[in-house]
Amino acid sequence: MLDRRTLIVATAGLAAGCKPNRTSLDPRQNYLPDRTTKATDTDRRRTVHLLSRAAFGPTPALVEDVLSLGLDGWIERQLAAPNDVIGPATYLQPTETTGLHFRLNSLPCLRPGAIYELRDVSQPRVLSELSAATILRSTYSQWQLRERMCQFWTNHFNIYGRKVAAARGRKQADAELLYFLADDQRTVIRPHALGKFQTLIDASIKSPAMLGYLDNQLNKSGNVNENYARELLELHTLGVNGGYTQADVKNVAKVLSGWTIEDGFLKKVGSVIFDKTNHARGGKHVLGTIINETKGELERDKVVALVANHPSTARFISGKLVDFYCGHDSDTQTLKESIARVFQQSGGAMDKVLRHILLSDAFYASKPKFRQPFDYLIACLRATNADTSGIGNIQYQLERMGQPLHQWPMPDGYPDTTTAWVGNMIPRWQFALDLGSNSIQNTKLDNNAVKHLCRNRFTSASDAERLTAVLASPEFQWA
Amino acid sequence: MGLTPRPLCESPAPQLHSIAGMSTLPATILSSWLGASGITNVHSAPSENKLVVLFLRGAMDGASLIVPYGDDEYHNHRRTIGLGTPKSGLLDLDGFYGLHPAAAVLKPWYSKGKLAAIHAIGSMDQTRSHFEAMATMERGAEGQAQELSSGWLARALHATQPPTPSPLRSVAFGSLLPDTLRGAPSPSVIRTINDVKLGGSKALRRVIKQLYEAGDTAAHASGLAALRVLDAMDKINPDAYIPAAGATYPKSLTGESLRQAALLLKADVGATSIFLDSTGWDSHVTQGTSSGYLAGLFTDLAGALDAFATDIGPMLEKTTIVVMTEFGRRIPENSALGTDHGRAGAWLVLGNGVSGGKVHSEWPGLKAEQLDSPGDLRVTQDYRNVLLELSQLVFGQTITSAALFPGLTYKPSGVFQKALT
Repeated sequence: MLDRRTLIVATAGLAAGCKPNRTSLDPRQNYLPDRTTKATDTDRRRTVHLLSRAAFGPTPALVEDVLSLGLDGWIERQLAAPNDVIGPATYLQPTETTGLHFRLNSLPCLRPGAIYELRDVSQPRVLSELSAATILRSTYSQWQLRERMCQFWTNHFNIYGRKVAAARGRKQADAELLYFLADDQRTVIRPHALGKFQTLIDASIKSPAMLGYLDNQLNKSGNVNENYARELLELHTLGVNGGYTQADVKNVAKVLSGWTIEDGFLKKVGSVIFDKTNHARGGKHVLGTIINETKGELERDKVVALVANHPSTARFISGKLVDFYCGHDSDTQTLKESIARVFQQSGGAMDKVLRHILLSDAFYASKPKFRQPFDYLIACLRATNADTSGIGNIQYQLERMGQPLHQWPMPDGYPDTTTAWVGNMIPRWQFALDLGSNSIQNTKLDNNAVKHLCRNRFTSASDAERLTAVLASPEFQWA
Repeated sequence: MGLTPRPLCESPAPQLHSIAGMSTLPATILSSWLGASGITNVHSAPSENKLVVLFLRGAMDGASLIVPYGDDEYHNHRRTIGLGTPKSGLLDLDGFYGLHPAAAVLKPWYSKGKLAAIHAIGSMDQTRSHFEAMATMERGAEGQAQELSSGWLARALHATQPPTPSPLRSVAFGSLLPDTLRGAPSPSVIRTINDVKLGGSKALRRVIKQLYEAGDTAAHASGLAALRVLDAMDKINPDAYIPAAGATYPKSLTGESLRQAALLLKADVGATSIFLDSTGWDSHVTQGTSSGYLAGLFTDLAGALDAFATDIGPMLEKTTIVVMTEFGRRIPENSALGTDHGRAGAWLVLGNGVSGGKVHSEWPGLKAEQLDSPGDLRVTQDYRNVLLELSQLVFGQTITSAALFPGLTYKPSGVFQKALT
């Protein structure tokens, strides 16, 4: 089982009374846990708020933890999460609970070096194990803030897992991006989730998965392929209103021309290599700077430094982070401006940026945020202390709700607004019913948790329908 | 952007619920309402006009679907991926434009006057970003109207909302509400009709209804609309649906979406506008010629449209389909034998009211000085003219230019049989 201390206790409960409060403006207050420690109502509200956004949902035990550590104490501990180091040792993650550790170990596709062997594994299986790892970590990891940031960056640097890598020859015709996604998670997203933005961009631009997804392995001098260059500026760094021009796009494409994926794609780790014969020579004007290196492979680093430290990047990434934690429906303009300054002054240090957001008044004053399907699903699993393998029907539920992992085709990632998701309630209710009636394969409820969650509510209905009603309620859709 | 369309239906079938005290909708009730096909209650002549919007995400290469073979420059720009002339297999449309051979099944609809193409159509906005272009086009947020937050179709639906609309009046197939419908009165987002059902007891549904009646957040409103949709969908059994007139839909996302769109229209559950997405059009790499990557997408698109028009049969007299995309692609090919983001592109319109058998275009030419830097087809038709006329055709003349597209200086496009404005 999972870490019982953290998870055995039944989770976020409902206040007594069957009818939701018609005048309640903040529906999450229905899910405050019982009073077991001395704390003011304000402390409790802020704690639940923090854990709804910076974690994947509160549990009673976690609320008690935060109340004793203090908001800032918990945030500091989370920011000091051990890094996911690159290398075989990380596969056994001693910093996680035994339950999570055990579950992750049952996913062989995620092993470092597994990419050597993946040719014989079907793509659906690779995708399934990758998705399972994300579901498991989000549900059970004690480093919830790190997992939230992994979610944010995975979406920010979205890679469509099913895109067929453009074949450069017969050898590569069967090379699929999906096989590189595990590596992208392990070497790009996870180790840098709480680190410096420039380090993250630098890792991403060296990721075979990203290079393949945005066609740069086919970007050659002559008629360059602009795909990666454009998304690097528009989506990864400066933002669409960041002040770059079509000429900048073209010239970044020239800088990136010649960077490709080494032959033998699957035999080695498929590293990104530089083929100078395909690199566009000569000076390139990028964002007001001339880039012209005798060694063409050095130009990429110049562009990385240029875009990572551009003031538009500080504004764009800060704004997106504030929206991620505060939602789009609140007035956060002032916060965004101050976070952009923190970003710029700290060289994009995520610990500083996150500390400022999560301790700001604007964060605690922000209106409820509509849960994306993934967030809804994980919050349900946490609230019911469900025991899941992350494999099988639970992933189909995500797909039906509209958010299968690694399967958003476009590089902008899943949207994060209420309007995008709110029109699709029926699959959520069906999920609540399936979970409530314990009919999801490899996923089992904790009866004690369910009793706690449903206490005093819908007393005339069956246990399964009581839980369904709680999870399907409008209140549970908001974080 | 991703090049490969997402495969359909790779997931396992939804689980059946066999929990004590609960059941899915009993088969006996379904059959007593519906008969075997589930849609025995089709009205022979639905009174209301219907609109189907198919959005090709990723910027479809208009110069490959509706090929300007009569412009000599075309052959210079596309030395490797050009499609030649009618002598080499292109399907001639009017002596200047030719249809991609993979879309051959559309030719009879063109010849019958039901189908028209629009070329050099696009936005006045210079962006070559997919996301910005889609956001602009789906809202109609051009020039001084950039602050518009609602979608163009949402505004058209609002302006013509009947007193007691069907909960399925506006449907979007997919998982997300498209910007086109942002702000529409209770749009329904449906991944597949099969998902639009809820197991459990009647008591559970009553409890859910009570919960969603007790508040006024966006979730409450959406939940109540979803409950009305569930009631309406109880009348449909998609598994028993057989397309009419031997129509065969391609086994693809587009094919399946259009099949379900036909089912909805014919079921007469009040669906007036149906929005569908098609992905995979961002052909930066080896897009192919008369065969290859794009040809595959064209075969799929044309096959799906052909099957849909055949399937709905006489309802095509009341139904107009528009196939749109956010922009066209660069005219010169790139080093990877694909094409990068460009400006103007090509659209299709099919069905009711279309001035068919024509390629509507004021051709801007492909000489260097005629192209938009860095090599893109100039926009000579503002897409808003076409969408305005289309909205008036479908929803009536109560829709004004000022309400639908603030700031538009309307110019008749000639795409429809009579411009109503």
